[in-house]
Amino acid sequence: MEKREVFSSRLGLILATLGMALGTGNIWRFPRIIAQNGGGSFLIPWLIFLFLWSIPLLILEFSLGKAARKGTIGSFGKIMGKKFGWMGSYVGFCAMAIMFYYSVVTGWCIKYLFSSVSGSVLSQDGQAFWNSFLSSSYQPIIFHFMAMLFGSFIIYKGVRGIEKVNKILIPSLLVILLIGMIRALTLPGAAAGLNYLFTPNFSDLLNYKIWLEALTQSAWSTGAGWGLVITYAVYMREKEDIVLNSTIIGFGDYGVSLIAAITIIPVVFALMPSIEAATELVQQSGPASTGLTFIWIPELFNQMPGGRFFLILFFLALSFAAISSLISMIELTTRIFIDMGLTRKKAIIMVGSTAFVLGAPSALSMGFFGNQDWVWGVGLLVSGFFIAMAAITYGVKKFRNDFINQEGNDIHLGKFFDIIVYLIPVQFVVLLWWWFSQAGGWTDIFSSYSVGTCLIQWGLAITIFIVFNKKIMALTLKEGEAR
Amino acid sequence: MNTSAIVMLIVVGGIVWIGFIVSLRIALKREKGKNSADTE
Repeated sequence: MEKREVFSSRLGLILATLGMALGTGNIWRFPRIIAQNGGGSFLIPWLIFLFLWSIPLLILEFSLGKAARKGTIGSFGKIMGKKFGWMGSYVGFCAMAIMFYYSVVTGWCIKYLFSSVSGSVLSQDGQAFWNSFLSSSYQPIIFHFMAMLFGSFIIYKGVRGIEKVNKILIPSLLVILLIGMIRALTLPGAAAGLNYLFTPNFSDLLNYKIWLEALTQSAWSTGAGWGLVITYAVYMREKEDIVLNSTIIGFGDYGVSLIAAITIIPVVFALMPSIEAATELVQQSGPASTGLTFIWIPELFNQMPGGRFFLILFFLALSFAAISSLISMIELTTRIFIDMGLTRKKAIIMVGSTAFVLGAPSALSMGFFGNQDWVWGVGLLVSGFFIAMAAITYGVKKFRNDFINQEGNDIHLGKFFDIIVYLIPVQFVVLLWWWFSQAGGWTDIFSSYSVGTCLIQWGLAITIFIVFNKKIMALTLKEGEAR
Repeated sequence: MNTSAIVMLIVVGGIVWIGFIVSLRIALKREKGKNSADTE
């Protein structure tokens, strides 16, 4: 029998899962999302969803992966029964679809890191540099290829490779971000940025978009509902804690998001000529929301003493964060094919080459990129709903007793957890209903950011997985392995 | 900084960072306890 790989220590597991969670979602996404959605007001739903959505889902994911010792498809089939395996297929596919364009973003980070070191990014106007990079027919593709190749190489080394890389990347990332934050806060005028970031306007809370963006951001950033934690839990030791580890990931991820926002927004306010100009800049973040990070940050850093050094640190942190998350997505997809009987080497070659090809349209077209970020970012809500349904179908109390409150778990969960799990589908339905009824655009399937484009792409994926469910299950689980 | 921004920063930052540090400390302490129990 093949010996199962496991994380060597609890710290190794925590750093790997933190590496999964800490990514561009914290540095690239969070500062612009909070800036565009009411600043301080946004923090209220964002914090609520940490306790009502993200941490409970992380707990469920750890439990599913640890109990089933399979990737997303196998875990759903094994715990819920084979006829529900299509839900696991959707969860896996959603994360895979994000991986296709996430690799492109990782490529941008690497490109900007190289350009910061060489100084070329500072030699011309930020917009002109970004445009010349994107309009090049080969550069975005080459850097996307480099990101996938590097990520695949780490995954080839197995779970110990993931552990080793994250033991270096995560502490380094924290140190770099802290240095950046101290520099940002010591700039004259930085307080205006903090005011913008933290002053609440409670009337904003009546807007459905703030709640939808807060939930999407929470899920996108913590990794809740992606299936990534299901995958890493396959490699947990037998007597490993679930509840406390999930709490650490949730809090750690949110803490880093706050540091990133406290670094970026005050820099903008300190270096722009007026508060109005700074406000306009942070609210309009350019094509597919890339402007703040890839156009304005280089320009603004260039204006401050020691700017080039801090720009290198900034893109180093961003690259570290992006790579540590990308490898978890590659592992998720690779695990699914390993469960289907492929060797790790063959699975990685297949996943790496497919991701390169299917990520290429996002590398070449910002319109396509923006659409995919929207569809599958919000699609994580569906994934979270399916994961909660796995526990509900199994029986929440039974799920808690069988898979969570086991030997080695540090915090014993009581009945209140069952209520929170039941609240996940309620949040999903209420938020979707609120969004659909306010946003319109049901039939507008070709618009990049409509309800229609989400429904058609989610619907297509779910239909395909339901139709081929029997075949996929037969490949993933042996006879008698499912419930 | 204005007062409401300071309050928000302290409340949100406090919950998140104190939550992270306390839970990480407990986890590492428990891990140490488990390891020494295994050794004994």
